[in-house]
Amino acid sequence: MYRLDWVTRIRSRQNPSDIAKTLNWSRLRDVSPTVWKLGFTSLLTDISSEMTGSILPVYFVLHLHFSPQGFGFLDGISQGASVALLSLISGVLADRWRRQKEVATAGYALSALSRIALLAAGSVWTLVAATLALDRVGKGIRTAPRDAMISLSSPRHELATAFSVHRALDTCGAVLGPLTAFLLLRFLPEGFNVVLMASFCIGLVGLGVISLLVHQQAGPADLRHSAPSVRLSLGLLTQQRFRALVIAAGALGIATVSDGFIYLLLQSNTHSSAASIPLYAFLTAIFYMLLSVPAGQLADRWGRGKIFLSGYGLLAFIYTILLLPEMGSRMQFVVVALFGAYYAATDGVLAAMTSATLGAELRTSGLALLNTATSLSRLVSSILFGWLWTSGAMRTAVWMFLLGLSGAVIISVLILAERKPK
Amino acid sequence: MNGGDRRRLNLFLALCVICVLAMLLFGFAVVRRSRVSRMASMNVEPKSGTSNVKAPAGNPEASQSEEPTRSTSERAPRVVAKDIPAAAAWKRKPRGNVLYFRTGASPDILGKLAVTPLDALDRISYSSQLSCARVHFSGGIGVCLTREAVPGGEGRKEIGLADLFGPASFTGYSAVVFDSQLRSVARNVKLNGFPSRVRVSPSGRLAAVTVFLSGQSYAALKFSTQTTIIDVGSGKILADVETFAVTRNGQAFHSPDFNFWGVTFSRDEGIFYATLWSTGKTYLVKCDLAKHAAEVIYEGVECPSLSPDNARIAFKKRTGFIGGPAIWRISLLDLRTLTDAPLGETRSVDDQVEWLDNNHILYSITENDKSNIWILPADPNGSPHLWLTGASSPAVVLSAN
Repeated sequence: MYRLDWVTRIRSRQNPSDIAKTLNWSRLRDVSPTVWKLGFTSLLTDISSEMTGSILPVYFVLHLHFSPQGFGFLDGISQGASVALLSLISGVLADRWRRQKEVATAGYALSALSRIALLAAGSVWTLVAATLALDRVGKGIRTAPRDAMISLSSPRHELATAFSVHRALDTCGAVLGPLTAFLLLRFLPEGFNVVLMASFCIGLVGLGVISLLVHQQAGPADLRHSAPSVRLSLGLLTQQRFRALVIAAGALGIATVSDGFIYLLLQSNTHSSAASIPLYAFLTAIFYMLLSVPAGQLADRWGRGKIFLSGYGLLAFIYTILLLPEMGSRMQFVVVALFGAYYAATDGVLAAMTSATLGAELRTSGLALLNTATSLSRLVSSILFGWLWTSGAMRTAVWMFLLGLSGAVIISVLILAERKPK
Repeated sequence: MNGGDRRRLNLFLALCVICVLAMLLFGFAVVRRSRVSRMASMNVEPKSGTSNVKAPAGNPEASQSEEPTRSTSERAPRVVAKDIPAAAAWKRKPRGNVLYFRTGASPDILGKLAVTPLDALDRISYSSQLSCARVHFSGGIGVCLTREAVPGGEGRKEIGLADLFGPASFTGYSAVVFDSQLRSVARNVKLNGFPSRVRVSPSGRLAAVTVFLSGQSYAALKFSTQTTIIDVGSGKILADVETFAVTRNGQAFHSPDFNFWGVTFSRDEGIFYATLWSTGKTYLVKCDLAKHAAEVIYEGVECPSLSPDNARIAFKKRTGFIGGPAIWRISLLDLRTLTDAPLGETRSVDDQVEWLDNNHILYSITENDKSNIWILPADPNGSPHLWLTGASSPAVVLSAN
């Protein structure tokens, strides 16, 4: 029999006072200062990158006189795949050198550098493309070492809370970035260079937080073992519990419709203006930011697997809503709220679940492996969905992804429940 | 350990101070620079703000065909600055052949709407204070795509929540309709995204506006275009070209990834040509507004521009590899034989060309952050010549027309 007894456990626990006890904001004081500092690094870096990201289309077309048709259909696929592989390499090396902080710092530095490079690149096409790639490489390199640092500085039973605090701060940056850019451009209508400069400076302060204020924690540096080899890192895949997570994350990733398509579907189903798509992203980020910490705390109390899989349950519910023939315009807010909740329940929680299965000396490699699996599977899903979309079978595409997601959730329930041999 | 911490904290604080200072200094510098060049563009100084003409050196033949009366004297543009926002118009109605265009001061400044007689390109130009991203003029009516609030229209008045964060957020662009004396004459039309192309029909009754819509995401840049046909008089949107029924080789052709851009109007009211993009290919479509229908007539055409005799189409043809930087060659399509041939411009041109007459085309090229208008004979052996510096978006109005 597969262990699904947590369903009954939830039922017996569900009373309001218990929930109130679980969501305890004062517990956040116990979250390690390192997590807060890394959170602020991410917040500043995200402000910086979202500031740039939100002005890029306008900047390219009106300022640099690039034509979107020349630029827009840039091959994102090979770029995504190579960044995913690069992040795997950086994770393995960070473990091998036991230098999570330095590798993460290098990633943040690359992204900060890419802003000033964009300013300097002018309208030389190849340079501009290179700076954008630099930013993506930086993001790929830093994610796993940073998540390893978060997990290594948090107690095991508070892992999801720690990650949720980091993700909330990170998303806060994603909310503030476009706002900052918008306000700057309100006062300086053509001040794209000012936005890029400000973005660079903010990124630099973020870099300062991680490089000057964060300590390399006592985790792996204390272990006087020999440095883990590359083989040992990749050997993680033979560990049953870790492998189960990677398979579950990969299967769920393939069945996950990417944000852009969700927003497109939502916009066309509610017959709203195309201008609302960036607004959806913005609102989703707000909901994610607000719900992240409660979801993380619930995950630590009730079980991370449950919250994680309920998150994908929410996603399946979103697909179902998108299949409805008629949608009122208010449904837009329901969907983005659910979408924010889905992110809150899955992103940080998955990192916490993964960290819990990994030993300290291989933590970065493991997280990097999982990230790579997730991003590659998302890439596959984008290609698949994009292909179905362009062949005109929009509803069929959503149906197929709904079926796929249900299948992936069932598989995940089975293998994740199975993994606790008592 | 504690001392080291303190030192690091101090270093961090110093970094913060430096960054804030750098931001402020940079901001002030940009504000000052833009203020200076804005003043210059309104002043009579020919150097910075307004356009300057150079005679095509060493090419007497081209200069004869276009500008027999070109003087070498320093040009003193009379910048009227009686712009649309101020609702004061250019007093004198332009007579004869004139050129409407967009001045291009520097990348930091949007170009101003300007007009100049074709026979005095190097001597006089009248520029308004209205900044335009794109301009076109035909049939006595001009359309300027601008983000400035212009009285009498829905320029920028109500900004809804969606506008705040939408593609129009940083732009708030609208299409301003003006007459030959640069007066705002009709309702402005609010745009959904930022401007790409604009064309006015020969009758001056219809305008086609292409804007870029964009979904913002982390680093992915995906663009889509929207092309709408506007009734200039009422400001009403008559059609989104994407809703047209498209046929190809007599059969229905449809895909959700359709993108239309770059309209050129025929002399027959309601008939126009445009570019259709689908799954990596571009097509030339002939559209009928009344029937809401479009037919694919040729492939590999971007930004078509119909010759005054309506027999040929000048367009930019994409060369270069997929995924890399696009290189566009100006080519000419003969509508009767349906064959195309490249013209004598070897540089990449990213513009919708304008016909000066049946034998010459105009287009702008941005080099060293400055855009200039070039002239090219409409035959494969012609070579390009610099025609008007510091200008883009040319629209030729011939009085005989």
